[in-house]
Amino acid sequence: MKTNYLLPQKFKSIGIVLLVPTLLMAVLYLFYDFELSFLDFRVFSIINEPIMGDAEHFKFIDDNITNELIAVFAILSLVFIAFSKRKVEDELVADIRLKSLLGATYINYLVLLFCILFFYNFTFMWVMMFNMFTLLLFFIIHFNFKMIQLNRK
Amino acid sequence: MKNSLKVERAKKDMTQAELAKLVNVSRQTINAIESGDYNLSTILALKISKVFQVNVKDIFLLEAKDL
Repeated sequence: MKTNYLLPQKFKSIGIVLLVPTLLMAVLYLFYDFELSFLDFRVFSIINEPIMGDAEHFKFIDDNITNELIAVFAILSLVFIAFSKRKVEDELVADIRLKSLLGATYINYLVLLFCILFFYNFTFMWVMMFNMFTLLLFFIIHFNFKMIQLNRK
Repeated sequence: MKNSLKVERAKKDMTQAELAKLVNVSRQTINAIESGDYNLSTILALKISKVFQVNVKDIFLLEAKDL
């Protein structure tokens, strides 16, 4: 069976290689406010609303893009790991993939609903930040768990 | 859906891995079909019946609960 929209198999390795330094940088950034000084750039923003002051639209602003790069590489690496082809990609794997995506979506939004009801203010902002990645993360865990189960049979 | 895949394989003295290779799926997929854990596609059912040179209905049968 032909499975469309999957990335070539080698993207999984690329994703893993990308994810390791990205996670390291994310930990340093989140817990130690670590930013790479050579990543100070003048960047184009569609909307820039600082904590103090008015929102600006369609303007160039000065920013350190460490956090943006961490987010971009985290999403890319997780997408690469999640949606790259396996060595054997048949209709059963496609079925498990689809069910895992459904399961991960349910889990992700159940967790988010819980957080909406019980986490407030700044803590909820952290939840929203992590929620950018959790759907992919839940999918990867669910899918690989099911594949390990299948390979044991 | 019931199936007599195991019987058909035995008749031809064929392993799950050999059948899997012939129809271009993994051995685990053949195992999941045989144990009733997975309902295969029409295309795969036709491919399997072609390998055994029998009618699809001779291998795959609907059960009362499917109706």
